[in-house]
Order: sequence, then structure tokens, then C-alpha cells
Amino acid sequence: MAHLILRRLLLAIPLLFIVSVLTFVLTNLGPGDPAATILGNSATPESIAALNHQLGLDRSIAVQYWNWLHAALSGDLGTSVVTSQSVGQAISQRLGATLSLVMLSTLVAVVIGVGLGLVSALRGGILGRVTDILSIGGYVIPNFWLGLLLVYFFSVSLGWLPATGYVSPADSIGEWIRSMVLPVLALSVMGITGVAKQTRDALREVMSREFITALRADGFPEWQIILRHGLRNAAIPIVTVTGVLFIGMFGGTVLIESVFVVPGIGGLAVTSAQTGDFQSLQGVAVVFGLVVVGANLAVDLLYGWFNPKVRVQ
Amino acid sequence: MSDTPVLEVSGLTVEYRRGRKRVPAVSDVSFSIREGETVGLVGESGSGKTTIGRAILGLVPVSAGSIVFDGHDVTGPAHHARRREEGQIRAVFQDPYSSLNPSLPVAASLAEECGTGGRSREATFARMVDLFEKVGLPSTVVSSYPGRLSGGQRQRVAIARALMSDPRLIICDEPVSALDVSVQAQVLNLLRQIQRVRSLSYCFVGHDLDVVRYMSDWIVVLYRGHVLEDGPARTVAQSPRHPYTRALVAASPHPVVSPEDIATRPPSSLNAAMVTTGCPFAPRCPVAIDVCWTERPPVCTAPDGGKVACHRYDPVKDTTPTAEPAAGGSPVEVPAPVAPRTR
Amino acid sequence: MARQFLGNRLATGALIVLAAIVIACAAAPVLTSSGPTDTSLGESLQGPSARHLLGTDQLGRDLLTRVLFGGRSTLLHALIVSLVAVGVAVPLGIVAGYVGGWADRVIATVTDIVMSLPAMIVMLVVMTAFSEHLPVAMAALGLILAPPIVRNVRGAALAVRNELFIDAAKVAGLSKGRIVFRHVFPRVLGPILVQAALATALGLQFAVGLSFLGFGAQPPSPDWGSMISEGSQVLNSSPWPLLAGGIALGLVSLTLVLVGDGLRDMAVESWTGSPSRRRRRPARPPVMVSQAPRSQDGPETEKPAPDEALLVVRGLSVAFTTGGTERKVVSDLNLTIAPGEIVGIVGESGCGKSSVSRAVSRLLASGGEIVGGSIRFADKDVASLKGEDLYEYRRHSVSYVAQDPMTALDPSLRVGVLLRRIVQAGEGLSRRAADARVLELLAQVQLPDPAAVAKRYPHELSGGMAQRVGIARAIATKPRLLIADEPTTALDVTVQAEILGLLRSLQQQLGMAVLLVSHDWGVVAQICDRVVVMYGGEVVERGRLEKVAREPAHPYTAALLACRPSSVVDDDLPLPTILGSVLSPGEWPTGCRFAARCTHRTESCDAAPIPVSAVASAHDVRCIHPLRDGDSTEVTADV
Repeated sequence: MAHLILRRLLLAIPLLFIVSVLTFVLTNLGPGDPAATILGNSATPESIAALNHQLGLDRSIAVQYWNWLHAALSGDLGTSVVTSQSVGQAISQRLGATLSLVMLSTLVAVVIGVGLGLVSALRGGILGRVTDILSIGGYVIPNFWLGLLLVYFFSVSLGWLPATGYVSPADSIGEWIRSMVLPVLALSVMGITGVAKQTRDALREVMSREFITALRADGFPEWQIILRHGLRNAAIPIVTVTGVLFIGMFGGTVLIESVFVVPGIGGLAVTSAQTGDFQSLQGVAVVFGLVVVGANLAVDLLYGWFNPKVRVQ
Repeated sequence: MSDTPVLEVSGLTVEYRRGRKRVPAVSDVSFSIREGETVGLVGESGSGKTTIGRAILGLVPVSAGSIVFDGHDVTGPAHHARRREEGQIRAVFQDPYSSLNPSLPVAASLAEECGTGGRSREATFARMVDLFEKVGLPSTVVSSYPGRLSGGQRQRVAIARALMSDPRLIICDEPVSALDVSVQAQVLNLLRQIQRVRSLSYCFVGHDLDVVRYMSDWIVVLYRGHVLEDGPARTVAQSPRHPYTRALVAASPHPVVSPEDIATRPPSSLNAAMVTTGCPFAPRCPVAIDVCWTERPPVCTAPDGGKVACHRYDPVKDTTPTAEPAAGGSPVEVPAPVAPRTR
Repeated sequence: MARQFLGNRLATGALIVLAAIVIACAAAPVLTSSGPTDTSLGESLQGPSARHLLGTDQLGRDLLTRVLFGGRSTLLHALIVSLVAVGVAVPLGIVAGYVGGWADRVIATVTDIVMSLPAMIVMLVVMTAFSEHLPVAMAALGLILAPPIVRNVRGAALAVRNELFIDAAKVAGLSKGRIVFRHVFPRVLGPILVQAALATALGLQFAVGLSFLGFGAQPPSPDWGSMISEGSQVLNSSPWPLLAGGIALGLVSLTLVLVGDGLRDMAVESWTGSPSRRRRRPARPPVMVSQAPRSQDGPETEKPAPDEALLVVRGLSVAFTTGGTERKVVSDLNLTIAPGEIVGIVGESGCGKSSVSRAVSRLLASGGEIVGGSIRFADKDVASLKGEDLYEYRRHSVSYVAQDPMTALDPSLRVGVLLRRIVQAGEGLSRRAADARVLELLAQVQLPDPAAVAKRYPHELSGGMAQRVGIARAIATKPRLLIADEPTTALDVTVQAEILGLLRSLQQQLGMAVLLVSHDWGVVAQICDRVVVMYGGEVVERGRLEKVAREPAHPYTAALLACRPSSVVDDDLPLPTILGSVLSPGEWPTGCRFAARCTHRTESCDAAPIPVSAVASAHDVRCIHPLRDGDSTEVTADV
């Protein structure tokens, strides 16, 4: 187990390194020129060059990256050239909205998905087919488009819920929930169907194994076998898919936050990419990398919890 | 039978890598097979019997020792090609359900045997039909897929496949253990009949001592990769010299016994700790003494050419008449029962 | 079968729709009358009409025209993603899976890292660099999406590597390249096609999503993402621009997923080598299935009389239903077990012996059903037990020892915990008392150091230990009948002897009855008092063990006993054999089911069902030409 965690943590170092180098190099390759962007129409070649020098942008990429890395390791992600705001500050302001969006979506996906999968695995028949169709739907319908459809029905046509915007739970819990309903729904649909399908498949596989028959022979009631032994042994694929979905949903915030105008880091990434705010984009990329590392670590720990073989090795 | 060995295995050692550790699967195994002869390798799971067969086929790398086939050293990977040439070594595997590619018709699998032989398509096909007749299959089977055949039929196909290139030696790896009892005898008879006609040599790997005895001239008894005993088939199966072989013989279930024969034996298999020095069977051995735990037993040669690796074996007291069941006395002196030591 | 066919029809339909969409997009300039950028401000934001099938957008441009033209770049991008992803992943996957070793480790590490990249963010970054070169950006997306395909292909290749037919091909001298081409590649082709379809769908969604954010076609030229984006601007006025792009995207994704599903089904079907199907015999049409009611199962010579018996099975028939067809596996079977008696059922694969034991313990696998007869245990009607009564029956009356001791234990529970739960459920003990009872049980099955064993997980046990735990579990609630279905088949011979000895001594200590099911005469002979020989779903002979084993009356029993090498006196003679192979369930003829393989067959054997008759007291046979005559055999004491 410790070996597994160590391996995961060791992999995190090259991962974060690759993410940061990749973003750094690619953003510098891009056609945008931050100095020109800042100075706008009044720019002259001389003023651009002067500003570039002032920002340190005239040095080689390696030197620039080294300087960035040096600062980043001490917690300073730099300052946005475009907004003149500290990147670290910008991200911490927005992290709350993104986290509530993703956490809620994951919770919804796991609770509804496991329930749906459980019922369809045991009852089969029509519910099984419904899960099948839903899971195809979840794969086929892009979440941002679903979000727009939800806005059209519940906000534009029915006027029940706000179309856009985000209210912090610190301000009003009720409004926070109202503002979260549609984005969470749009973001979690794929998760629900993914978890449901995985739960159903894994549970069916487990329930057909020999030890389940042996437990039946012991005279345990069916519901006890399912809940105590079936689900526990089906948990690993469910945990795996939940981990993958969590990461996927974090990426999905890039689109969902744009659709619902949620002030989160996904939206920050989009505006940064659109405006050529490379410092912010770089910062967001590193935060995403950290989230991925954390999610994978959590999944590994859960593996160990559910599977004694992993724990021992 | 001629006296020149077709295959000579000496000091064969095969190790598996498990992480950084090297786990020996086969340690210092030697035997030879003469033309027209069958050597049986018998042992329980983990005895290394299958690994030896795979090493002879060149399917696993050899860590030490040598395999000499037909006078040529074929131990290293460089020599794999040689043993795979026509007329050399072929195999019949245990699981007839996995040894034929289910997505290819039987004929296509068999034709692989002649991939480089330069035989024409027609000749290959004619040979296939001829062999199918010999192994007792209707020639229509050539065009069917393995999924449509029964276990016994598949094993016959596997035998025909092994015969396609006229090999001198066939490794039979538990060829009947996946088959129904009533079909096993058919396949065993077929293997023997083919051997007689072609003076083939077999290396017959099995876990059932009765089956191995019936098929073999010479038996090698393996335990955890070590040879504990070898000798003429009848001697090993009926008057074994090593305590392990005796346990095997005693455990072999016979259909006609009265229940009173079954005394409750102490569960010696649960004391199966790994021994790094000493005799590998010591933890389970009813007659083990201190030296069995500390020193590798010497290999003694019995009057009939058989060999025993046991501290308790005394060749002088071995009165086993060649190829005759021992009446009464056992060559290993049996003292008052010694409780197996636990460490 | 029907569902498979429907599934494939669905996939075929999806493929046709997909092809139609692709062709329509490719041929957009020919198919449409106006260009994608032709504005008509007078027709702004109209709904669907004959003139504009999908309506118009804000500038009055025809949405269908824009969907078709937009599809050209969107679909092209998705295709690039898919080609790059599959093209990179397939060779890597095959190398990792088939070659293994350090190549596998390197590839695994790289895929791990790439899979951990936040794909959407990386794509945003890539887009800032390559916004002018979208195909390059899409190729990068293909690289990011490749790792799951690598893993998939690797898994498939790894599975083939361990197949014996690969070894056979190696032994035949085929080169590595030929083996990969001939045996490995066809096997991984199915997964590859499935993954290609899914990668295309995923690439499509990414491409559209990025374009929605403004990293795609620049106005006024359309693609589906920018159309959705424009649609979202005018959502308050008309949903049609949003729907047009989204439906096109959804439809293509749907067809891709359906095609992928169809391909997967096809791939699975063409590989009947999957372990779950391996042991099943080919389904041939049933020949001459008996429709006539069979005669009664002969005189009931079994003692004791049914009223003293523990288990009385009368006229039991068991059938399995697969795909709508019912196949009988056991027909009209009688069996009586007295308290404290050990009865063996012997037979080969497909004879129905396991179905009998599972029917008695009410553990028939799904699809299996008791279709006739009765099972009485003490005074219970077992066949009709339901709910709590059934649980109670399984808890206290019968227990079951399975064939594979490892897989019968919950892999995630320590042995002691599992046993404690069983003891608690059965006897309502406190936790502490239950723990003590568990140790007692483990000692009873002669496990050294019970406390240490109780703390182990199943994978930390040897086969012999696991089967001892299995027996401890079976006797935990002091059952009156223990059913052991091939309890030693997965074990070594020396361990087998120990387990059989243990079963025998426990039976004597506890006085329970045992029903032992085995294919191996030797195993049954070690411990049974009485034996029942089954062939083709029915009893062919039964009686006291030593009678049946020494003086078999049925030609099948006799042949089965004779064809074992252990029965042979002279190793130089060929083994006696039985012709042909065992019957599959459902192939039963009207007359004697063994007739086709029997050397004593006469015409009357095939004419009608064979009744059971007594050859001696407590020795019955279902044969009209028994090897032993009823009158000539000595009379044995009552059983």
C-alpha cells in the first residue's frame, strides 16, 4: 500500500513538471504578444520592446521558466500581465465556486448513479434498458449543450431558476443552492450514467461469482448479501470510474462555468486563453494538475480500503 | 528402442522473476529420454513439472543446466529455431479448449506446422486428412472451427497437429486431465498406439500417478522443483523409495477400497513451509530427522538404476526386485514415528 | 439471440445514418442551394419551414446549410483525433501487451502520466498556440486521448499472450511477426474498432466544445461548436440555432456509440474462447427428445423407508432455460438419504449430478428451475420454500461445500470475520462467543494455529487450508446434511486424501449425513456408504458402494471403473475404452441413454424408456441387459 502511494507521489512530480513546462512552452509559442495586448492601439515597437524587457519577456524561455518555477515553489504564481492581478489571489477567489460545483456534482453522480445501478442490476428488465439508454445519452449529449437546454427550459421558458450567476453559500444558502441546481445537473448527468453503468456491470459480475452462491448456501438473506458482500466487492470499479469522472468534471467546468457564468477557475482558464493571459492560464493548469494528483491518490487509498490484496502488497 | 538418448536434460534450473527476487521453479533436474521411450514427470501443483516441459520446448528461459536434443545443445534462445524445425519437438497441451485458436478453422491451425516446410497446399491437406484418419477423426473436421468440437475431439486434433511435422519427441503436458474419464482412455490408447507405430519419444507430464505410470517407462517424481526420486515406472508407482512418493501412492484414490482403509492422516500438507536448505519435503515428511532440515539429501543410485534423494534411504537395504512389487519391507527404514518438526 | 440480432440491426442502422450524415456534409456544396454565409436579414430567427428545414439564425442564414457545411470541418477534426489516437495507441498497446517486460513498464508509465493530464486545460493551452492550425491542435488532442486505448489494446493482447495456441504457434516455429499478425492482431481488432468509434465520438465532443469557447471556425464560416455558441446568444428569442448544432452533434455521437456497441458484441461473439463459454458444449439440435412420460423409477428398494429418511427426492426434474429454450438436465430422479449416511453421486460432465446437489440445496444458478418432482427434507417441502423459510433451511438444515475453495470465500473479508457472521446468523451468539466458536471450528478442521488463520484473507491461504475453512463454514451451524460438490477436484492428491479423511471423521463426530458429488470413482469410494451413478440426467445404477464398485451391473458403470489406468493389471495392454463422448443435456434418446456407446446394445434398448430394476437387495440398475442377474447375486444385509 505504502509502495503504491509512494509510486503515485513520485509520478506526481513528473506530472506537474510536464504540465507546467507544456503550458509554459505552448503559451509562449502562441501568436499573442502580451505587451502588445496591454498597450493596445497606442503601441509602438519601441514601447512594446520596453515593456517586454520590463516584464522579463525578452529573456529565453528556459530562464523565464526557471524564474517562474522558482517563485511557484514558494507559492507565488506570478501576476497577470492582462489584469495586473496576482494569479494566486485570482485562483483562490474562484476556487470555492468551482469546488462546490464539482463536489456537488460528484456527490449527486455517486448517490444517484449507485442507486440506479443497484436497482437495474438486481431488477434488470426495463430499468436495465433505461440505464443503458441513459448511459448512452450521458455519453452522447455534451454537458454544455445540455446546460444550455436546461437554461432554455427552466430559466427562459419556465423562469424557475436563475439562468446564470453564482451566489456564495456565505451570502445565502438558499440562493447558493438555487444557483447550483442547473450547473450541477448539467455537469453530473454524464457522471450519473457512468457510475450507474459501472455499478450495474460490476455488481452483476460480482453477484455471479462463486462466493455469493456460498453465502446464499450459508442462509444469509439476499439483501444482506448484496449490501454487505456484493457492493463491497463491486466497489473498486465504481471507485475507479468515480475518480475518472471527478477529473473529467473538473475539466468540464471549463465549459459549464462559461455557460452559466460561474466565477470559477474553469471560466478563468477560458478567459485567460481568450485574452492571452498566460500567467493565469499557467496557474490554473498547475492547480488542475494538483487536483488530478489528489484525486488519483484518493482513489488509490480507497482501493486499499476495499481490496485487502492491494493493502498487503 | 535404441540406447542413444533423443533428449538429455542435465542440471536444468529455471527461475522466475518476481519483482527483484528470483524464485526457482525448477532446480537441478536431470533425466534423459531414449528413442521410443516415455519418461513421465509426476508431481503436484508447484512441482515444476510443466515448467520443465516448457523449458524443453523453449517457451521459458533456462537459468542453468543444459538441454541436449539429438546430440545438439539447444539450451539457449539462439537454438530455439532448431528444435522447432520439422521432425524435432512438438507438444500436446493440457487444455484443448485454449490450444487451438477459436477464430481459425482447424485446418488453418494445422497448416501452421508446415509454414516453412515448403510443402504444397495439396500435400499439406492430404497429410492432414491422413493424420485425422489415424487419430480417429472424420476428415470433415478439418474445415470446422474448434468451438464445434468436443474436448476429446479437440485433443485428437491437437495430437494430429503435433504429428504434422513428424517430430521425434512430443511433450505431453497433462493431455487428459481436462477430459471426461470415459474419454481419457481413448486418448491415452491413441498416444500409445502412435508411439508404437512411429517409435516416437514422449515426455509425459501429469499429476495422476496411475496415468503417468501407465504411459511411462521411466518416472521422475518432482516436488517443489526438485527431483526426489526416479526409476522404472513400475518400481516408482508400486514400491516407491522416497517418503513423498509413498505419500502420493497412498493418496491415489482407488475405486475399490473399503472405507476402513482410510485412517485419518495428520494434515501434513499444512506444514508446507519453504525450506531453503535441507530437503524440500522435510516439513511434511513423516520420517524426517534433524539432518533433513539442514542438508540437501545425497542422490543415491538404487540397484535398478533409479535414484533417490533422501537421507533416510539406504541402498544396501534396498531389496526391491527390479520391476517387481516389493513384498512387505520398505527400503527406507521406518523408525518409531517422529512428529514432523515445525519451525 | 434475438437481442444480439436486434443489437446488430441497431448498429447497422446507426452505421447507415452515420454514413448518410458524412456523405451529406461532404457533398454540402452540391446539396444546398445557398451558401453557409448567405444572409437574409428578413428571415432572421425563423422556426423550421419547408424553405428552411431547420429554421434560420439571427442573420437569416439557413441552419441546415450551416450544419452541413459546419460538419465538414467538425467531422474532419474528429476524424483526425481518432486517427492519431488509434494510430499511436495500437502499436504501443500491442507491444506493451504482447512483448511485455521493460517496454510494458515504460509505456505504462507514460500512459499513466498522460492520462493524468487535465485534458481540457491542456487543450486550451494548445489552442492558444495553434489557433491558426486547428488540425495540429486536433492531432495533439488525439495524443491526449490515446492512453485509454493503449490500455485496452494492451489488455486484449496480454490475454492472447497467455493462450496455449500462441505457445503452439511458437513451438511450430512461427516468427514473432507472424504470430502477432495471425493470432494477436485479429484478437485485438475488435477492441480497436470499438475504441476507434468511441475516440471519434470523444474527439467530436472536444472539438465542438473548444469551438463553442471560440477556438474553432471563425465567423462567419460555421462549425457545430460556433453554431451552438451563436445559438446560446439568442436563446431568449429562438431555440432553433442551439438545437440545430446540438442535434447534429448528438446524432453523430449516438451513431458512433451504437456502432461501437455493435462492434463490441460482434467481437465478443467471434471469440467463443472466453472462459465463461469455454466449457459449454456446442449447441446442437436435440435429437429424439423423449416426449413420452417415463416409467416410474422402478421399485423403491432403498432403505430406510421414506418416513425415517432425512432427505427424500422423488421424480426430480431440473431444467435450464437459455434464450427461451428449456433444456432438461435431470429427469425423474429418486434419491433417499438416511440420517448420518454418506451417499455419493458419480458421473461425468453433463450428467446432471451437480444440478441434483444444487436443487437439493436450492442453489440452482439463474435460469435453472425444478420443473417436476418433490424434495422433502425431514418434514419440509424444499422445492416450495421461500423467503425466511428458505434462509432458515439453508442456515440450519443443509450446508454446501463448493468445488473451488478459494473462490467460495469473500475475497475482501478476513476468514474469521466471515465465519463469525455465519455463526452469529446461525446461532445468535454474542460477538465474543461467536469468535470463540470460530476458533473452535477452525481447530475442528485440524488447522494449526486457528487464531492466525482467522486473521488471514482468502488469498493468503493455500488450497488445502481454504477447503478446510470451507468445511468449517459448512459445519458451523451443525447441519443435518452436508453437500459437497467436487470438494477435492481443485486440490492436489495428497491434500485430497487429507480432506476426505477429515470429512469422514467429522461426519462420525457430528453424525450428519453427507452427499458427495464427484466425477472421480476413487474419491467417492474413499468415504461413501452408498453410491448413485448418473448418466444423461438420470440414475443408471445405485446401491451399496462395495456392491456397485465390485460387481457393477450397468455396462456404463463397469466401463467407467475399468477404463482407469489404476484398474489396469498389465500396463502393456491398451486401456478398455468407452466409445464416443458423453451426451450433452437435451440430446437424450427415447430409449436407453447410454445405448449409443454400449457394447451390449440390442434393438429393445432403443425402443422405450428403460425402467429401474433390482439386481439385488439395495442394488438397482437401469438396464435391460444387466451384467449381473438379479437372481444370481447373493442377498446382502439391508442397508
